[in-house]
Amino acid sequence: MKKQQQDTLIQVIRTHDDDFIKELNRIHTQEILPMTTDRAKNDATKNLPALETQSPIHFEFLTTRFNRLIVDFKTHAQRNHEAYYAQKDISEFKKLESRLQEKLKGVNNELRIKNRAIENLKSCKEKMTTYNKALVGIVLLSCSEAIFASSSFQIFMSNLLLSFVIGVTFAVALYYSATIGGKLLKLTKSKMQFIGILSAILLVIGGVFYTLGYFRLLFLNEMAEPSQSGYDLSPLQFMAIQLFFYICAILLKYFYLPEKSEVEQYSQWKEAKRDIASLTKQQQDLEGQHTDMEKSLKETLIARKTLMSNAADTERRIDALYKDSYQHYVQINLHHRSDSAIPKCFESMNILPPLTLYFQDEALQDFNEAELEDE
Amino acid sequence: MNRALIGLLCVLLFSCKTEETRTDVYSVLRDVTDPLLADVNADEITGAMHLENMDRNVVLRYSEISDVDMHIVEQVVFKKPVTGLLGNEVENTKTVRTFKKDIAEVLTPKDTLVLVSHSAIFVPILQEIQYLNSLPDAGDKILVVYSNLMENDPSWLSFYRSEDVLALYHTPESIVQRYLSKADMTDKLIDVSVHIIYMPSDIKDNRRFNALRSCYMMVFSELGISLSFSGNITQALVVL
Repeated sequence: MKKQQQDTLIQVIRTHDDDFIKELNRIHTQEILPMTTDRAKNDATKNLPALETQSPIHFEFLTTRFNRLIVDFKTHAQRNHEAYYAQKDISEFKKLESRLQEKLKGVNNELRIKNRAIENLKSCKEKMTTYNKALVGIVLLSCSEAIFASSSFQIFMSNLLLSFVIGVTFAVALYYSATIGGKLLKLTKSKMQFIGILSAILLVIGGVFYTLGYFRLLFLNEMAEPSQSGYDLSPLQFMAIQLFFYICAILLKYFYLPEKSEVEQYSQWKEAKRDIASLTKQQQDLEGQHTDMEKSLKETLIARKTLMSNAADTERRIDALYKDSYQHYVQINLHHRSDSAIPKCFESMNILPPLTLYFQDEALQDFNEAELEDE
Repeated sequence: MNRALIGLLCVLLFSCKTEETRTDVYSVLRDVTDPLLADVNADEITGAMHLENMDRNVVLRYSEISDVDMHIVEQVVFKKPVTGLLGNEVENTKTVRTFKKDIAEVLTPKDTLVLVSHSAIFVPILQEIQYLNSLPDAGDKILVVYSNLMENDPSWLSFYRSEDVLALYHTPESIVQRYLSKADMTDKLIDVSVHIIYMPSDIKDNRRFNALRSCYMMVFSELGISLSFSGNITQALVVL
């Protein structure tokens, strides 16, 4: 919203030309016209300019005066360097733009490479996602017994906190035993080896579960009210249930555990994903910078163009006043001449020397379009 | 910033205070002058103590009511164990079990060869109330009396005497006055709950006990002590 508002803002350019024009009008009416009247009358009393005169010698004082006004305006407006600065802005913009484009090109190339890498590593990512889902099950299945049995460790530990610590240690050990078990099973080459290793693992872990079940029963019996007959359970029942969970965990590991190369590929995929996020941000930043630069240049050029256009208008105004003053001279002179003749130098206005104008070159104002259209 | 943190820490430290452990005291008085239908039941009493809530100390006092005003008081104490992560549930359960066993031992009637010809009931009850009331106001103070309330002290009141029995039925106010004259209670703010457990044996006994009950209600109301009657302790605690 804010950006949109900024885009629709109108640029206002303030100049001091109005003051100069006021002063110009004052000089014209109060200084030049009375002086022209006097000179025209003076010349008329001597019937000057002569009939055959074809030079502007008698009214060249106007040319001099108005040229001085032109120079005054040029000095006052200080705009003779606008075109130069505009060209400089454009060339600076081009330099920066080419640097930005180079960076953008580099970023785009990197992005293309990373996207291709992501595409190539897609299969390993899917495998890892499946494994991560299975991992939750593996952790729960292998660790649950140790966590459930943790409170029963109070039988030989001084407090509940230490019992939990022992329980968590057991849980971690069981998880890693399932991981190692899964890896060992993967190494087997025959069915017999598979069954042998699985049986060995289950024998060891079965012993652990039997012990844990024994502790749980002891704990339950200790906690039971004396009036209750006690729990008619055996540690073997606990062991059987937990071994079932553990077999599920170890088989999940066996089927879903990724190879070392797949883990490496997955880490590459994650790195590429991170890089893409960072590169996309860089790309957006660079594009944003380019847009800002372009906008800023356009605003500067419009401002400079407006200033130069105003200067050209003021010059044209001075020129019009110059011609007006000449007409005034002619009119007064003819009116006061005793010979009632019309000198040759009054026949055509072309005899009037042109003023030296600085801002009338159209090319000066075309820098904007001319330079930027090339882009 | 650092000063603000130190200030906050100081405020937190100074606002910390050690919470006093609450102590619930249960006192049991058993009238051994007459055979009782509703006799002391250790399981009932330990059940009423709600020992699954271990966050407090519990004291059980036991004394007998006979023909004299002074008796041996036996006491069993359950000290609040460490609970939560630093506690040990097995040890705590064992402690509770031992406490219950001790209570059962204390409450088991002892064989005696001494014959009791009189009953001093009201005074021992008042003495026990005064003792309980003098304890710090930390927790519940409950007095459970197993008695038929048949006072038999020829020096001031005997319900085995015909004129006192007649006064009980026809002018109970005079009996109440006699009870009140025995009660020299200066402290009126009494936060002890008294439960009298008795089960009448027949309709005659029931009538007599109801009359006594009315008198006790008036006396305890006058003394500002909470009182309830019931056939067993579970019911008595529900009534409260």
